[in-house]
Amino acid sequence: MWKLSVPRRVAPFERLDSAFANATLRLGEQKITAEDSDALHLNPTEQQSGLPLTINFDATTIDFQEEVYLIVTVIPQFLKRQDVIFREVLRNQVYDIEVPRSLINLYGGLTGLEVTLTFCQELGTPHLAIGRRTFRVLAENGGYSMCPTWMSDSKWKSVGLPAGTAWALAQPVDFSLTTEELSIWVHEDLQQRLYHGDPTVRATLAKSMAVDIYFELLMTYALEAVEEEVGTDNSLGGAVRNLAAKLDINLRKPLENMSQTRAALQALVEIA
Amino acid sequence: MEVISFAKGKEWYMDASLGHPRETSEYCTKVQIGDEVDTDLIRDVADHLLDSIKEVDGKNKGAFNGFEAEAAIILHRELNLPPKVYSDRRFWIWLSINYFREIIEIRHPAKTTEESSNKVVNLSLEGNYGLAGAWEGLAFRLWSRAAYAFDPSFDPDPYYHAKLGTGDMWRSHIFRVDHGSCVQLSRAFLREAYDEKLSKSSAPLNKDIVRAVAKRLRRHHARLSFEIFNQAEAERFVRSEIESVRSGTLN
Repeated sequence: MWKLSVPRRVAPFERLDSAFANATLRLGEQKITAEDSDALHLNPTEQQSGLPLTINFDATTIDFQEEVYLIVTVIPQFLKRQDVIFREVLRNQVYDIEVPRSLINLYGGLTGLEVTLTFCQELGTPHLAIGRRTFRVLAENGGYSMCPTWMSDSKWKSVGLPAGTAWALAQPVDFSLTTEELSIWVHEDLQQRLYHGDPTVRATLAKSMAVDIYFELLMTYALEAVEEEVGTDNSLGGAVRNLAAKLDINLRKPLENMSQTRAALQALVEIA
Repeated sequence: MEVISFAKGKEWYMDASLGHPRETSEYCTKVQIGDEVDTDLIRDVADHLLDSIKEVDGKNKGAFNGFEAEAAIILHRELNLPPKVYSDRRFWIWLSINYFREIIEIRHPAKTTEESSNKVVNLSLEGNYGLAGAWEGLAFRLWSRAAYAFDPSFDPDPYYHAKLGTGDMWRSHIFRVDHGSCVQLSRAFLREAYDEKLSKSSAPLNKDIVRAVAKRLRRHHARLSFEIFNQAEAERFVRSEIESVRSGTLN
């Protein structure tokens, strides 16, 4: 059995994750944060009149030791189209990113919007996503509501990496866990931390997302191993992708590939 | 008459004796968008598409692929729907039941069982009317294919990408997956996989390679930001994935 210590590269992301969790979305005067458990219901005529839809993000507390990009996209619900409305290197400041009026007007009659914040590191092309959070502005029961995805109904799938990733990345991981042990660990430890004890979160959804986080733990460690192997030149992004493919992990069913993943990581450890 | 399945809101139900859904209320009245849709135009377009699908019915399965590509463009171009209408799932259910029923029955015939000569109404049939997942309804799927592909700046044909790929490919690898919203990536995938003129990956690719590449794209999306791809970056990425699958190596 071998255990990992805290990977050195993830330390700066702890504060990033904290700020991430406090990102808010405002429609007019109404605001929702990641801590709110109830969706806000809005008058549909208000949205159609073109109230400003603003994403607020406080990055003043982040201790940047590495360059991090923030990318914000807007996707209309039930349509396969997205617009990137913001893409910049994060600075120590408060961001108020307004969804362009042209998009609100264009999408104003739609049943909903998705606003996604993605944090990335530039490790080649495309960027490596280290955290992703989606807010949805929904139309339901004659009104509109806003809710962050992880608080909403299970019909909304989690999108990409959950917000607890950075926290999870900083935890020591035991790669020798059996599938059953991992399942228990996921349930008892990660679940509580990820959802702040919110009882409304469905256990199955929590487990699913937590397993994704465990996968990210594996990938982060793998990234460390690759870095040791190939250095930190521009080929790192490609090397990471190659490694991910070599591990052959199905993100939707990572547990099924645990033994293979462990074996691959063990080999990488020996190489490093 | 047996009611065997309710859609959300219980505005439609499956009528087992008819083998297709029946609605319990008039959609246009209910949501007050009657003035925004031209029902005569919808009827004309549906009649045209019905004639088209009858011509390919009974031919090989691939003939439906040609029909879907053509029908997608006609639906999008001719109806010219406003966002308030096309983004409402109920509109597509209403259109499916009232104007697309014969088209749906030809494209997705109900399955029969040995125990009963009656048509069996099942979830897959229900889905083709838009009563299941958002992306399962035939009419909305077709319209969305052309809407997704439409690019006025793409020379020489703004509907160029709508003509590429199969109906199954669009449903499985664009509509049903989150990264399907990354337009540059999906269009690059369509060109590289199906476009004999523009592909640098020796299109058309066989179905197994398409599926394998699609799986890799879905995996990568969890940790890579496809949304910021430009066209050239998307093409390079897709090509490298195709090459990886073909060679069985890792680049």
